[in-house]
Amino acid sequence: MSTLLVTVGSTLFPDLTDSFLSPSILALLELHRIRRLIIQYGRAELPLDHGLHIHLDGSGKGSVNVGGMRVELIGFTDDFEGLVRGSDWVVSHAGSGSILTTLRLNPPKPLLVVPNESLMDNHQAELADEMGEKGYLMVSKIEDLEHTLPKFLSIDKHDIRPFPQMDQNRFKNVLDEMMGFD
Amino acid sequence: MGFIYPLIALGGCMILLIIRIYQVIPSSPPTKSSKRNPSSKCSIAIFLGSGGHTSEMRSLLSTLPFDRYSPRKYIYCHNDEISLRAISELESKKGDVRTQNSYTLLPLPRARKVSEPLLSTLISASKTLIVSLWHVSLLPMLKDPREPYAEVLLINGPGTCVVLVLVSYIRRIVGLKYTKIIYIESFARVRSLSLSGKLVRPFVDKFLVQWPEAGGRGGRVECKGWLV
Repeated sequence: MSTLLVTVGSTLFPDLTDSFLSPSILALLELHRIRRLIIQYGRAELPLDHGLHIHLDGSGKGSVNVGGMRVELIGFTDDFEGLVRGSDWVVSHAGSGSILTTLRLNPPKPLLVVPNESLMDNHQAELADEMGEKGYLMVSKIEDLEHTLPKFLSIDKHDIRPFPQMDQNRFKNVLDEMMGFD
Repeated sequence: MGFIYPLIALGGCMILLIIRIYQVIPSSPPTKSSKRNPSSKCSIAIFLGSGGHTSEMRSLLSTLPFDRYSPRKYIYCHNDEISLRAISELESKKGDVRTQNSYTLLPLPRARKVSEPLLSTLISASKTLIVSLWHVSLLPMLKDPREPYAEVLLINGPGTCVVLVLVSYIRRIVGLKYTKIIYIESFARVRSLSLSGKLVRPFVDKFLVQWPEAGGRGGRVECKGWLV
């Protein structure tokens, strides 16, 4: 069973969450043997569910079966890392927290980042582009998703460039030196 | 014409203050710290700015030896549950439960909420200024004028940390032993600095960016690569 997670962290990014509920994207995911789609929609006012009639409970959770695929909606999660760990593919907004968590798992999860272009100061897109150029992840615009998703879902997981783990001494050394401890 | 003399006096004071601030602004390259005994302690203040700022700061703190950097003073914004949770997780994992008072908490009113208009930003920022002036500058001065609030202050944005830099500057201006300040720009800043980064850059003792092009060609910006 192949699971795809769409996540927007604690932000509001309805363009991304809505487009994954559109009939064309859902059909595309089914075609690529995704059997479970989890949409973590953050502060967005869902559902613009394209006639899927998803009923959300008091905590903002809901689910519906579309063909052979289970679609689950959640607003927020206390265990983002667990959510990513349980998924095979991750589509995320360009937040550095979501990016780092996904890429630092062992083995790293294939990651497609969709920057939110409605942000005024869109430095997040710079981060996504830079990490994309280095081969750690793929980047897509919302309107290109129908073209980029098939490419993304055909990635051989062994071809993903692993992102280096955090260097535990780097910051400590800087502070130690500054305070006279070296 | 009597009002002209107070004005001249005021102007003179301002000029002296500006000269003094210019004198105490950290030089480039930074002056070397005097050597310390490796087993001595160093008090540290940490500002947790909520959201992504808090999660990056938490990663940075997770690499520090807590027995050395002690006591720890956590400064955060009112109602920021995520930062409070980060503190309690860090302290329960890395702190020494046997020693009491190895860390303290200081909640501040938030200086600026996202997309807050200018006027109300000014009002809430002055609240933050007054509270931090009292806790970070005046109260420690009354307790023991020789010791600053902490030996080092860690900041990584957003806006409220600018107020902390401002308040910490009082001791520099009057020539007392002061808190050194280190600013760590976010991993998310690849080719430009954040607004708070731009504001505090001339005033902090160390300014770190995590991508080589993030800080422009400014002499005082250091890049040691990814820190989180």
